[in-house]
Amino acid sequence: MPTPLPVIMFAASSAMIVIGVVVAAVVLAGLLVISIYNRIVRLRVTCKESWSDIDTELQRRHDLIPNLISTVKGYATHEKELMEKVTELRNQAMQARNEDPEKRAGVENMLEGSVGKLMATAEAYPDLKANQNFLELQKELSETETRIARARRFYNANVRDFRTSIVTFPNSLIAGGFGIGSEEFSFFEASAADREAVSVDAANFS
Amino acid sequence: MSSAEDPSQAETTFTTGAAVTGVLAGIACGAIAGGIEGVDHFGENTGIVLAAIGAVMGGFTGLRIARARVASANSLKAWCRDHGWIWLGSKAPFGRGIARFKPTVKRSKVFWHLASWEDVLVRDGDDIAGIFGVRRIHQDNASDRYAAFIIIHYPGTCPDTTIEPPNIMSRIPKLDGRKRVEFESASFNHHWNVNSKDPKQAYDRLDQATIEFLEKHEIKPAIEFIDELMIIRFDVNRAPRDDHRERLLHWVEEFSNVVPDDLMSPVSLLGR
Repeated sequence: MPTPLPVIMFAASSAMIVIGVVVAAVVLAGLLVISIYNRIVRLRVTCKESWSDIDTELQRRHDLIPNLISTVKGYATHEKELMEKVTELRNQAMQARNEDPEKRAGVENMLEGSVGKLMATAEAYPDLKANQNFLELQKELSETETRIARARRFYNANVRDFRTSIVTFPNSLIAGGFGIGSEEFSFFEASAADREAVSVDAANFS
Repeated sequence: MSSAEDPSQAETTFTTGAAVTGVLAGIACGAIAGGIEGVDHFGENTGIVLAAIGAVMGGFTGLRIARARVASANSLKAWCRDHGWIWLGSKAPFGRGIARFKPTVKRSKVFWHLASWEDVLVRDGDDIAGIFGVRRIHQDNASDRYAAFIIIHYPGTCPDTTIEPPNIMSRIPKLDGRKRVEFESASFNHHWNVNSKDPKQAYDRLDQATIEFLEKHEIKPAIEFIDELMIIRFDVNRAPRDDHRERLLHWVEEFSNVVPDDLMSPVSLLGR
């Protein structure tokens, strides 16, 4: 016996509703994935931008060091060993430019400590302390250190946001699916070992 | 010209004109009120007697109000002379106090644009200009809302940034390009809401010392950096008197001290 027409129409409309719901769910899921992926990408771009801010300031520090060495050399003749150490650390820091932030932070922190020590030697050399060029370099270095500290704090905040974003559900599924991991960006901060190294170095040169 | 030399800041004398105006206004109000009430409830003759009593009482009240207003103005002027401010007057129009900064203030998110001024004080330094104003939103007599505004013009600029305790609107995404900025301190993020067009600038201004200051201080105003202005709104119950005003100005001094000096130099608002 043939199926009555109303039954066929009911079955067809039910199938249409189911298909419609499935399509809507797929579209919504797609939009959600796109939205989350875009947010993660935006955070990644922000991390990269803030890292380049640090890089610019570190480069500025590296550029100031040769001038500082040549200025100090003329007055603080007894600090040769310390100046050599600063030069060596600067070279190491420049070579580490392509390393990840964690490794780079180590050598940069040692450089920062040694430069600080070199600046402090000026106390023992009144002529150097009064030298106009030295005073300007001191001011520029101090401003650079402030900017590095601010850039570092902002970068670390962005890394924190990025990492939080990719480990929370459902972002973790999408980040995992696209191969985005928290190891992509590491924090830029001094480790206890680095701080120890700087203080030991400083002690050796005093 | 300093406030001490400005003739407009000299002590106001209680003139006969002010007394007569106060008394006449009081008499008129008292007589009308007494007369209407008397006639309505007790008949014409009693109404006339009540109108006369009302006129006498109104006259005394008018005189007292006029005296109080002159005393209040003199007290404010004396405070201004002592602290290097100039009083522009009660109900000073919007334009007089902040004419120079009007385009920027108009864009402000923390300023009450549709409120009336109570008092406006201004202070001009070498490179810092300050405006202290009290504004009132008329709701009904029992629940008028007051806010004291301090607007500081300082040498420096900042992309639009607001720092305020959370409110109903806090979590709603901003359509003007400001983004919510979160800091290292969960407690700070809970008690304060920061939105900025440039999160890096917000981070630079709100360093550890600034965050600690905002967290610890009991006064929690709404702060806005907008172009070359810092606008601060203190929600208060009534127009602040001398000691309260000094407390608010001192808060701004302290705040400017904790913001890094290269971004905003410390401002002095209470010294001569």
